[in-house]
Amino acid sequence: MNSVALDKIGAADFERFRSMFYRKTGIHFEDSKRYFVDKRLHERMKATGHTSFKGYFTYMRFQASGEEFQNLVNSMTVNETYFFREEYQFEAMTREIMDELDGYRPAGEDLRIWSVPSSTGEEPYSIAIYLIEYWKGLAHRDVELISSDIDSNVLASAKKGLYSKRSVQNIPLPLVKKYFKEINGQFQLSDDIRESVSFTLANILSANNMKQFRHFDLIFCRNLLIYFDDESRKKAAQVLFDAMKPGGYIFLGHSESMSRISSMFKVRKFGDVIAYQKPLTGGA
Amino acid sequence: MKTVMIVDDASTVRMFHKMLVTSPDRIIEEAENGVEALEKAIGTNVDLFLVDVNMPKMDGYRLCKEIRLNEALRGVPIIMISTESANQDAERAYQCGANYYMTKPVDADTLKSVVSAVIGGEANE
Amino acid sequence: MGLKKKVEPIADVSEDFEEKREHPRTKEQLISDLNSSDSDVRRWAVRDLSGQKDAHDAFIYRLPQEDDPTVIEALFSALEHDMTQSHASQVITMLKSEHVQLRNGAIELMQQNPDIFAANVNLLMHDEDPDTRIFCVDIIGAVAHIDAVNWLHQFALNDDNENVVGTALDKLAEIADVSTLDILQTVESRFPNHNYIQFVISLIRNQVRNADE
Repeated sequence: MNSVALDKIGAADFERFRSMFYRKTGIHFEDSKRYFVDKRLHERMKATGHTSFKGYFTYMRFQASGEEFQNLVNSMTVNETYFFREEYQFEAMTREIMDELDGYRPAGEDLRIWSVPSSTGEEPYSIAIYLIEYWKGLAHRDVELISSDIDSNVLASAKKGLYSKRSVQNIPLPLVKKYFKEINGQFQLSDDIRESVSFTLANILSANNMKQFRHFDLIFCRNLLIYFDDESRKKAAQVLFDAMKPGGYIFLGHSESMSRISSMFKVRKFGDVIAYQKPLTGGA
Repeated sequence: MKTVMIVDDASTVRMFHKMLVTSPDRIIEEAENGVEALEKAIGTNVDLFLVDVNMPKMDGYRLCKEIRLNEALRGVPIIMISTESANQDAERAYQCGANYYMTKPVDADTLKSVVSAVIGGEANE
Repeated sequence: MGLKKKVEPIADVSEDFEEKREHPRTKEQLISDLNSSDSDVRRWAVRDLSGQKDAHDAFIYRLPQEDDPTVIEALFSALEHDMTQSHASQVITMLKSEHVQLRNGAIELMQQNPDIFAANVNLLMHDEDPDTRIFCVDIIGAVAHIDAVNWLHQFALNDDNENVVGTALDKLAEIADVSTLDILQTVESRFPNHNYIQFVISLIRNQVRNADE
């Protein structure tokens, strides 16, 4: 049985790797994350047949396709979906952003929100619940909620609205009782909420595909761009920009940043929460 | 405590400048480009920006303008640092809102003394 | 008022979606829109021309005249595909632009096209403007090309400008290998009193010597 010993990653190597990773992604690994990072680096070294870190680093750094770097990034990002994930963004939405958007639009015009990728629906449904519970503006303004994914299986699941206990554990109990019915240990989302989200199949990187997605006031695009390479990420940023009304906002995932993607958006902050705004007037 | 934000896409330049200006009563923040600088600076306290001109995504001139447009940050001093040595580049920096302009390679003593003049205190020797 | 109910299922998006327009826009009109006084119109023209093979020349022509950041980004994004050597030559001239966003866009395009860049690196390495040479080093610092380390060594050993050499050393801090150790003493002696250069050389030495083999 072959069990090749992988080199331990020294401090100097870790420093170099950390610096390069930060340059490319904006993600900085604290020293306390050594174990986490080393483990994943070793996994990738093994997967690519490298026993020395130097060999792996050279391979990864100079690979024209950038595929291994992407594999590495993917392995570093934990992506579990559940209700009220990164809740501070929903809070910023209902506390400040919706009012601001409401102020931009004439009476009678819907506010449109896009959640992409929808995955199994936790994100768009979280948005719906948050708006109903916490945004008073809903009394005088219609909001349309659209959510998209490239995977039809996942969309089908989202439409059903049946969730595990784990998925709803971040929701305060009174709200779980209000919006879900517990059936055999699973949680069925109410019809009212399910009907408030329109799900569509879509590929954000397909230009023709995306022409239909327009005039959004608010976009949630969380933990999608991190899985793209540089070129695709920039392409997606163009699509997202096109999809927004002037003054509209976009949220990315907590470890994602426009700083490695695009300077078209205005950086806005609501407390500690970063959101990116499409300029109000033509251009920046 | 005073906060100095060093904005430069060259990691070793950030390290070098950080080494020059660091002291126990100063917090040093770093950013790789103008967008990241704004993400970190907006809504926080920054007492001085050291800004490189040539950076990807958002350059130093544009960052200066954005800082001056931000209500809370508009009064924060900015030292612009550039490899370009023509006079018109200094002019341009001042028009964008920079307070000081230095060309690379930055003279260590000059940088230290300007920083101290702006935010007080002294760098470690 | 409130959350709108789905009235009918939204048709799944089709690949062949055709926008219904009253007056379909011709390519000629789109190219003419590139010069509109409205930046939104210009940006949409770029977006709608993107993917069309022979629009590259129009984009390259427009760039030096464009000052809106959102249009400039759309233009560079459109140029990312099907880049030819001839396009590259024109893009490279933008490295000399006064407009930083143009320079940055050109740098990024070259970074994404390592082989085309490699065909131009010698020319750039010997450009008479030290800032242009610095931008060349910036490209090398992010390009995925196996000659990157050698190119940086050449800059460090031969360039007369301290900032160019400094930039090359900064990039070497990320990708230096044992062969870099061989050149550092020479580089050090070329700029003996330069604080930053001495600092980075020392850093690189420590990194390479302490790296695992």
